[in-house]
Amino acid sequence: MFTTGSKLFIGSSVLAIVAAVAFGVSYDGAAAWTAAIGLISVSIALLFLMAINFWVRDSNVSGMDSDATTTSAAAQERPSNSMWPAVGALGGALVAIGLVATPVVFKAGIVVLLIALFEWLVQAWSDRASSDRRFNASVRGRIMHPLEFPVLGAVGLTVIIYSFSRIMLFLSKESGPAVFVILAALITLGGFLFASRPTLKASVVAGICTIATLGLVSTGAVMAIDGEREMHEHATVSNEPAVCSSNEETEVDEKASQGVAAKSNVAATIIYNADGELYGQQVGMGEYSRMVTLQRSNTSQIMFRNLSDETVRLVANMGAFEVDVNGTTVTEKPVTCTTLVEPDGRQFMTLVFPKSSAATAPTDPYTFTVPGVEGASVEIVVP
Amino acid sequence: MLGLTAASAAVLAGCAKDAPQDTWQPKGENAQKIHDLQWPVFLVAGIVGVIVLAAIGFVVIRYRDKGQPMPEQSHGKPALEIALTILPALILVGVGIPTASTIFDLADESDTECIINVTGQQWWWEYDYPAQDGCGGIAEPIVTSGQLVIPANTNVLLRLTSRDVIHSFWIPALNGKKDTVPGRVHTLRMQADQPGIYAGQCTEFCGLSHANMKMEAVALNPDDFQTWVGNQLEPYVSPEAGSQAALGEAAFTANCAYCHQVNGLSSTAPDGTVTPVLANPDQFVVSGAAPNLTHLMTRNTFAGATWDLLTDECRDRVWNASPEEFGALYLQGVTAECLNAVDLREWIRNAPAKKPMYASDAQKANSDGKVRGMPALGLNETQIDQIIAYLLERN
Amino acid sequence: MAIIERPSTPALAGSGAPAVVTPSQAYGVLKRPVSTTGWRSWVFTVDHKKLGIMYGVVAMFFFLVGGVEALLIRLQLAGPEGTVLSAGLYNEMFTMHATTMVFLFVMPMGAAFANYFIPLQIGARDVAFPRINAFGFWCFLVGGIFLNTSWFLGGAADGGWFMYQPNANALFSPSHGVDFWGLGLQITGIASLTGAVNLITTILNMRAPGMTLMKMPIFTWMSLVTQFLLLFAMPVITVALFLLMFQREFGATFFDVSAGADPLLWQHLFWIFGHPEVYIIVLPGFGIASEVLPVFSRKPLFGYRFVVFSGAAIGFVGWGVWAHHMFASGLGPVSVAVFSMATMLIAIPTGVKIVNWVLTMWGGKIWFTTAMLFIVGMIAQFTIGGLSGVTHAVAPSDTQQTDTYYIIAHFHYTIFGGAVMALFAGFYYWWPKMFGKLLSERLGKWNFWLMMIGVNLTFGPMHIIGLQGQPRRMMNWTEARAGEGFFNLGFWNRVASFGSLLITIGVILFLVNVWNTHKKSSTTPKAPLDPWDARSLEWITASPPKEHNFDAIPTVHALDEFFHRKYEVDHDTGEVRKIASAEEVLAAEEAKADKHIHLPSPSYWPIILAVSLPIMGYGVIFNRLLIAVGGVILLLAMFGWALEPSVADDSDYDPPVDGGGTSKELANIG
Repeated sequence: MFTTGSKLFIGSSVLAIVAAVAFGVSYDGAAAWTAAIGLISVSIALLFLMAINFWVRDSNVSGMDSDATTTSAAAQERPSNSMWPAVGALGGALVAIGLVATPVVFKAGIVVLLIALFEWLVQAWSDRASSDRRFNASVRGRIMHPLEFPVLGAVGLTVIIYSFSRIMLFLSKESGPAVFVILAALITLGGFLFASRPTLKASVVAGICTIATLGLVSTGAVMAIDGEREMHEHATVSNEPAVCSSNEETEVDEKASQGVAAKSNVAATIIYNADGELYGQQVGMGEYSRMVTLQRSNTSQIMFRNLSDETVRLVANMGAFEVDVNGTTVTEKPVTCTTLVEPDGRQFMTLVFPKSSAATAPTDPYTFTVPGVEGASVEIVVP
Repeated sequence: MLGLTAASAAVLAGCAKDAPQDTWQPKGENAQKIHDLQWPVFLVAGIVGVIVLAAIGFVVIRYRDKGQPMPEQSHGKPALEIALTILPALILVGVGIPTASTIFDLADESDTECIINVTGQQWWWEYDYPAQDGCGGIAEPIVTSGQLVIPANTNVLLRLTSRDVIHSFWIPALNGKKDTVPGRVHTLRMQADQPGIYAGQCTEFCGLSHANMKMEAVALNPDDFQTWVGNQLEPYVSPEAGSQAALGEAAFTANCAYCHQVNGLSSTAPDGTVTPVLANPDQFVVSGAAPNLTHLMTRNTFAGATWDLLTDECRDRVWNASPEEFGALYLQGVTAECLNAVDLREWIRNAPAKKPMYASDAQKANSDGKVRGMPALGLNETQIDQIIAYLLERN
Repeated sequence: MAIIERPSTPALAGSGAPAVVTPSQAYGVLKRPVSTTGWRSWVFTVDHKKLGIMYGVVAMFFFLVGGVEALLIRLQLAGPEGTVLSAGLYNEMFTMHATTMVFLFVMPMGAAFANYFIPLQIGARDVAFPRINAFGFWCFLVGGIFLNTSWFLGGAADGGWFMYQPNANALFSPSHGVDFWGLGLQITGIASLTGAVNLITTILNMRAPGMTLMKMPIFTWMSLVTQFLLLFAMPVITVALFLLMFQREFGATFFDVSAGADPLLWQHLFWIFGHPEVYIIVLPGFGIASEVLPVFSRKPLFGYRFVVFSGAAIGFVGWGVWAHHMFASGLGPVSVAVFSMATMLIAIPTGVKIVNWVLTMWGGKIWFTTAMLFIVGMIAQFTIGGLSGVTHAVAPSDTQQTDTYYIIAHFHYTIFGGAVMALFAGFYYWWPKMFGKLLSERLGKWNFWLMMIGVNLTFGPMHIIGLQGQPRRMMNWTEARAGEGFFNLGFWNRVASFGSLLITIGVILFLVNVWNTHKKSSTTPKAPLDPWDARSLEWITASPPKEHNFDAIPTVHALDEFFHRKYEVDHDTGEVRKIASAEEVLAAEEAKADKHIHLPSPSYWPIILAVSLPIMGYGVIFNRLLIAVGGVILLLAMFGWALEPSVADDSDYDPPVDGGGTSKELANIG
């Protein structure tokens, strides 16, 4: 008649009523009322549970019901193992830490959390696809692999490329290329060896690749923490007259300008020689000249060669013009210069003269100069 | 065979005498070098072509199905194959060696006697002559456009570049073409054996009015060239006060001088101060330049050499002049009788209607309010008359 | 494991039914389409033959579009100072004429033949990746349509098909035309690239037993070389087009001089793609020629090995000659000399091909069908085009000729006279195979002669026009520079325009021929099984081929397998005896039909995936929001693609035949 479970609940609720009565008799005041009402509520709840248990017969399977051997919950496979609760927890933790510490961690936490929720959802869904766990796994794979593989691939590549870039940025400019060549050779060689031994066990290949990747990533991490090698700015042109007017800057990079524009097709080459003379060369003009002609409004590529043994820069003084700034007339003297060029170095400069030589004030003609060197000047004629 | 006609027609093209841009009528040393190289190549190609086409014709007639038995199923004769591979290889070696040497010959810059900067922009050419000892001596820079004036029998080196898109400079009678690429300076040798006028055209597609970007090279005797240089450097002469041209000067200053430079043109303020009028095409034109009109009437063309400043009759006289009398005729420039006022007038009235350009307000919106080409200025007929009268004195 | 297969329920359950949901219920829409008739059978097909036909039909449509553009150009140039088109429209016209003809006609028409005939020629039942094949076709179609919608959305591209920088910049070409052009080519490029991967895999892996590479039909060989060229050339133009798009849409400065870059970079990128592209266009034509000539000369291809290796050599050397398009760009004498020599070098393998073709006919028994006429005409015209090519391999001479009509003459002789004539030969030769009916030979010969005369009248005079100095891409020509006399440039321009009319009539005759053959009231009988006494594998099957191509995969013993099954060659006397008719050969094959034939199922996803691409394209141009819409469709379509069952339900598709006939099963080929 009563099932085991319902008997337990009946007993418990009787006990609760007895206790309520006992409280009501032995105490008085508000405490007694509170306890009595609480215990009676408990007993009602227990009786409710008793009724449910009685109704469903403790969820027991009837021996007569043959379908139940497959349809009952007990007959189903356990849900498969899942890492997503753990990952979800990690995400939650990251969110919490991020809120306190730094927004990056917070955002990462959100991402982890979302991934975990989504994966959890899909896994839970796939677990109910059938009773066959292998089949369920394949269902999940079909849904998720088109997303997971590309994302994981991209993440993996990013990590490898980033690590590699950190290593290359850590190494000095001299050893970098050598390391690059050696690494590339090793990888090619490895690939070749793998390809020529198709019988090689997959686990061996995977092991080697894993070790190599781990080595790369950890080296990259170490070097990323250690920081990049010291690098010079690669700025070609500076519009700061204050800088252009002096030779006092410390940065030196003989390859500062590496524009693709062909070095053999420059509009003019400006040379500063060991005698402290500045002169210009233009195709077909042959002789070294103290004057170059550049077309107006034309993008002219100028090559500066420093043949002296000092470190100098070339300055292009692009005239003086009266400009109207908010109603007041201001004289502007645009200047462009190279960075400092070390002895035997050369550098490009891209110039546009929008107006002819006639337009500039006679006191400020268009010239190339080397700051601090008296008489080192080449006139620029813009017809 | 039609192929044969085509091949022989190609040869025939070299014999035809009339087209001004004919590539088979070299008039200078450089074009001659190209021609010396190309006619044997055409000849060999023609012979090979005739042989192959004849072979095809022979096979097609000889072996057509006349009910003969199935032919032998032979898969080829390697020896014959190899022989027929080596033969064209040998011919090509024969062609290749002179080709390479001509390439280097035409790239030589060491014998330059004269330098001219050539700048392409949509859709006209600017020529500027830097001050130099070459070309018989040029004291001050000269800027002109439309017609490239060079001394005859002189090795001229053009330094080519472009202000906007890529163009290509080509005077077929004097040399092959060379692209003008923004940011790069390319060189091109020019030499004309005799005084005369040589037509050319921009040959790298450069946008809307590519077809209207022409040029002419004018070769003058060194003496005549000196005269021309002297004329170009002559100081500005103001029109006689009160004349139609003087009114034109004012109209020009008010409407044209924003972009077009006339060297020496000045304006007088009410207080009597005289300031030179300097054009600022950089503020109005995408390429940042407009033709310099200081000596417009010394050249025979305008608007990218698309139209002539000379009437047909006068033009024919110049073009058909003998080398001896050409120089004198050319140096006359454009006189009032010879002026082709019709086209010039239409051009000043509404330039974009005459030559497709990006100069309307709607089109300017895409380029920071700057035009590409000459806009319609909305001048009335009186102003146009005055401006033409003024321009007629720019000689 | 396929999703719709029911999982075997583990042994714990006696009655064995799965518990919760059956997967076919779970996936609903993701079933595969199954129609074998009606429009669905075409739209969702993965059958290489149907795709081949669709490639052909669409390419033919674009041929007509490009032809109309060409006619308008010739109409404009028929007289001096032409006013048919405005300057802007003229520039759009020649840009789109070239783009349409190259990317939307010749290339896809080559792809049509390759798709249809490669599996048949190598004895395969389909290509290696049928769904990708379908995706490629739809990309081509939507890309082509996308490209041409620019006409109605503010104007087509106007920078020339070479789209030189900086003229193609937003500043100098402000309409959206160039954006449409770049993105459209990007989309059709996907078709070429996926097609290349697909066909290379197919050719290398799916040949019939016994077919070594040196026994492979020559058309398949030339297509293989073409596909390798595509595989390496397409990435280059893809990168270049991305740079162009970034420059126009996002203000990048890859070719901007004032930012220190060089516009010549674009030219190098474009022509590193552009020159192999020339061979991509022409090699399938070479393949067709080498296929048709032996059949109608009744002789094997002369020097098969030489033809194969010269094709491969063209494929290699074709990569080293791109700068001959840039002889006038100012590369410097050393580069020019090197590329000049390399260009001469490539004339050698091309010459080898012509020699071999002539020698194939030599000593033959030539049967002048329309297909054969087209090939003979093609050889003659390609010879002329090749020789004029040698004249501008000579760089100094090229500086006089480049960018003049001489170049137009040259490449139309090679592309129209060479590739397109060969494609027309292909139509006439393979029509009975594809559709079971012969095109009229009488109309065909009219078609040939009109086109032959038309091509020579149109492009022959252009040699003269070019050498007399008329540059290309000019919206008009003037009397002032046309020269004097009757035979001046004006005369030759008029002749060229007249010739273009003849070509037009020729093409219309072809369409009439097709219409006559296939209209409902047509009396054209069914074509014989082997109308040309052909030699290669595609003829050992019904016409048109069954859906599964071959009842039994034939085993190959020789080059020209079909011929050797029909004829016996006496090795001593060289005498050739017929031993079997085509019907007998086919009957022998059908007798040993495979009992189980695996065919891929149709799929919804290729077309949906392809359609998402132009939506994203419009997004880039008009409203970035559309990119997201297209992106969502793209993503969903990729999921659909990945998730759809690898086969359709057997019960939906093809119930096994009772009594042991051939049954078609559905293989899980992707």
